[in-house]
Amino acid sequence: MSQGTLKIEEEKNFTIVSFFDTVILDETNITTFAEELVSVIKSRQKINLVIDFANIEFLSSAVLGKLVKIRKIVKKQGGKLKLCGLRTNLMQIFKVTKLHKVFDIVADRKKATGGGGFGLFG
Amino acid sequence: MEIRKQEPPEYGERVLYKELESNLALKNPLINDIISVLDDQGFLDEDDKIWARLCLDEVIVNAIKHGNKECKDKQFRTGLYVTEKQWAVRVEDEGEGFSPDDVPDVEDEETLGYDHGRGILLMKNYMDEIWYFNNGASVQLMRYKRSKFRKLLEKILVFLKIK
Repeated sequence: MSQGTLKIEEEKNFTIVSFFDTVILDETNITTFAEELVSVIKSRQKINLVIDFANIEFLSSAVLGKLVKIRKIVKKQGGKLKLCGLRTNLMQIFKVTKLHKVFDIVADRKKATGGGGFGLFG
Repeated sequence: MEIRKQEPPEYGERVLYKELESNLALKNPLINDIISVLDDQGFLDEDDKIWARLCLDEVIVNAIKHGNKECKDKQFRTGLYVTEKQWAVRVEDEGEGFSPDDVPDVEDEETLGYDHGRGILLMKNYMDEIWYFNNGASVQLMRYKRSKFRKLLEKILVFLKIK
């Protein structure tokens, strides 16, 4: 299933969101992505959401802020959010901002849906 | 690293200068041009490209969005300066300016969940100097060229600090 620029897949009891194309996520497109994501979240009563960043080659600080907001929406619904597929140099951005302590980040979608915690980077 | 609040020196030769309207669609082409010049001059490896883009994105978005409020009648000016040992970028907008002191500290447990305020933190991590001047409507970032050994050492230190 797809919704706009996002690819949405259901696996076990997880909803996995990934990006069709290799993209730079920044101020120019994050609002569209965030709106699509929020619509996915709100279309479900409670979501186990996995965002797969494998196709993301860059993200700006504006994206971090949006992810924090999305996490709050997911948690408010009683759901869970995991991030996966982050390239090593993008993971560094999460570490410098200490957001690796806020988000549940795992290496890949297999670990995300397999019940693993902080896999590669913890 | 302290943020300085006075007019900075101009470092070396200005190798790129653009005066553009406040349109976010112009941001990435401008950043690509700057990255390309820095890459040609041997300042960037693959990690640098991510971090340089991150810092450039920050100051250019701030100029267009927060400084000029995306008003197409307002321009922002970007200059890139290089010497053999450093590069600096200066971005000036036509807004009212701001104080970097007003940006929240998002590093402690209580403020980690804030959805803004991480840009300066990221710039401080990569750049060697940050100057805000003209009441905060202008900013200059500077970074020294590193040897491969120093880059490796810094990565290890950052890793240990984060751990």
